[in-house]
Amino acid sequence: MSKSPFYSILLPTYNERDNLPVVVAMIEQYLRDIPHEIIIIDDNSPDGTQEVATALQHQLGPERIILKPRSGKLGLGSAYIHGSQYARGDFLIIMDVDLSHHPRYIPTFIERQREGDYDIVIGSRYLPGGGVAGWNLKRKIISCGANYVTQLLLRPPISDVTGSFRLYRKSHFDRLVSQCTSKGYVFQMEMIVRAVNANLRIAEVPIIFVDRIYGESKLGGQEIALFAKGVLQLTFLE
Amino acid sequence: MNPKTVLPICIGVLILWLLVLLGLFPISLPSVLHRLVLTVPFLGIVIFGFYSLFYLIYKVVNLKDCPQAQIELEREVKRIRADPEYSSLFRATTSPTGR
Repeated sequence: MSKSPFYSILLPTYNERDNLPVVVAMIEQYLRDIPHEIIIIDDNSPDGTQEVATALQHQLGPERIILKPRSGKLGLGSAYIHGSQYARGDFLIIMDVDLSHHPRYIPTFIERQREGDYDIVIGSRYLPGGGVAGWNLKRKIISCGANYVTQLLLRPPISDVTGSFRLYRKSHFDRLVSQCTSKGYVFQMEMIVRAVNANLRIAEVPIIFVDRIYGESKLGGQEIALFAKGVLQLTFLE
Repeated sequence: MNPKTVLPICIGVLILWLLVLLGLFPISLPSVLHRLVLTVPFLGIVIFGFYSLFYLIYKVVNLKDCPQAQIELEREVKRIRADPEYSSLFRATTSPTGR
């Protein structure tokens, strides 16, 4: 009987003082019997998220909650690299802290990984059983359009390439993330493209994504242009 | 079907097509074939356009809307905040003003 794997959950935070305790409580509830740690990477949030993280560490202990804050908003990719350095897990789980990603799916990711000894498990909004809440038609069209263009040009065998709720085998994650140069949505796509090029074993599970950003989505012409540029760059990646 | 191999092929075909268009193609084509060759790219673009449109519509329609998930989430957030097992987490992280 092999040793049970250890899971490190990376939580990059910025202004999440209200959501952070909820996310942590949910993780504790759904991962009650699964050995894990939570690494909180706060980018010097002005709303006091780091104080909240410190209080959580007092309650749950430094073995469970690891704090690795940074001096400012330095980007998601670098937050992952920073957090992963201190992760003791065999597997990393990355997710958003605004409750758009529900911790109840984490055991599903873990189970799926075990089923086929996968290197990466991706949460997909497009698979049967998945979905979104709180998206208007424009947002849906943009997301489906982006996935369609990406599938056309990059042909990854994956239904959701921009999602950021994923489980990675730590060894592969460190190598992939060190090679990536893009930001935002394109960063998530670049990780997948590099993983596919490296012939890693990738699986997907359906998830429901609850949009927490009310009001106007920040997807204007500039974002679309950046995305197009990113996809083209990825198409001609070595 | 690697994009990197498809692109040179597409460029090659495009150059051949331009040669036919400009009348510079070495082999003289019968007029029916000539007309066919000239219209095929436009047909291809139109077909591709319709395929993309229908595929996109299909994907958008099939992207499941789950408004219930939002309601359930709100409910679960309330529930876990009131849960005695995790009350220590919330007590410790609420500011003195009781936000």
